[in-house]
Amino acid sequence: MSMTLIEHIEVGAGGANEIVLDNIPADYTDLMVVLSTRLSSSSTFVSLGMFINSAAADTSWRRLSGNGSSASSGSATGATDYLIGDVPDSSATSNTFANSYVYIPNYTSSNAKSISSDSVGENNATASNQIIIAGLCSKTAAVTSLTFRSYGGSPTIDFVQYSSATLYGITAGSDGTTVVS
Amino acid sequence: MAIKSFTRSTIENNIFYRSMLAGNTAFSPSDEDILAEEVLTGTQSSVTFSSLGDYAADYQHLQIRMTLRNDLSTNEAQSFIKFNGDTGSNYTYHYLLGNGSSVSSGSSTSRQLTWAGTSAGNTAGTNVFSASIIDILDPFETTKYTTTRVFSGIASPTNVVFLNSGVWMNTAALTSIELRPQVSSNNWVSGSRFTLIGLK
Repeated sequence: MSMTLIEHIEVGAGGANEIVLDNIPADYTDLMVVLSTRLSSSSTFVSLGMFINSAAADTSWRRLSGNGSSASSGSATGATDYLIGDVPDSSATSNTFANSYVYIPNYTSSNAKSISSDSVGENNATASNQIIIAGLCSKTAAVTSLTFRSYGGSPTIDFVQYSSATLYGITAGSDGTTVVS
Repeated sequence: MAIKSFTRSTIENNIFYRSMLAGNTAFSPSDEDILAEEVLTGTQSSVTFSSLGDYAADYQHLQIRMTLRNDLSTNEAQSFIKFNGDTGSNYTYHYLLGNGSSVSSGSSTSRQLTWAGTSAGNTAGTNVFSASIIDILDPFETTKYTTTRVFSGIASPTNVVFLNSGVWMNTAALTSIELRPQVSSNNWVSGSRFTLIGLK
């Protein structure tokens, strides 16, 4: 197994309402995205979403989450976006960004795309978010782009400057010793 | 990468190859590297990765993988992180916990350390160690507080799995990471392993 850095994007001055990883090559086995993000509306936390290729109501997900005082579980079907987590917004502790990880195995297959992720959003108060999510996007085409935005439709909330996304390609390998049967 | 097939080399079989690989697999460097590792052979009160600034030019993110056991007389105990030697009340952490029958969430704010997940204690099963993965994104940026995400768990006799987060409320680039048991007078025990990984 080897990990290859494909692209790193950092949001510049003025912010951006989407982070797009485009023209993803079909050279790897799996994809992994690492996100450090903060949004800019007037809340403490805002949900972060992602869609594969073009936006469509073709995604389902299940979540297990904690908010600093209680745990819960939830789901969605026929959603436009895959939910990644809740990231700090303007009312959260300043300079605090969420850490999020998205894994898409077998991203070039002609099957529906399984997705798993986890995300933590910090804040120097009781309210915070730790979320584990698994989902499915019914698209059968290879993943060629990933778009990140505030969850649930037209992106009206900007990522703040210094929000970043790093895309890695994971390549399955053989060490010549391990037996797989 | 070592050459795997010496018999395919010009030296051994006197065959001329147009490729320098001479039949060997092409070298494909990974953008994930082990930067440092400490495996304890005795007790130790803490483990510190220092001079991290040396990695700033080459790595975007850091990860720490640990298998832990300490000598506190309990089945399971917390472990903690201190960044850059800062002992001020500049840390916060939150957690999501599952114990095999229920889930819960909690927090602690304005602490002097942040949480590095769980650890096996001295009364855990023989040879039982916890497992933890800590991810730190953009540790060398000076525009963000340092946020950690920790995935950890332990089995026998206490069974728990945690997803927890923490933040060090300081925008300084990381220069050191100290990992210590829940109680400062206690120690990590032999066999505990600490691996620092860099992601480009």
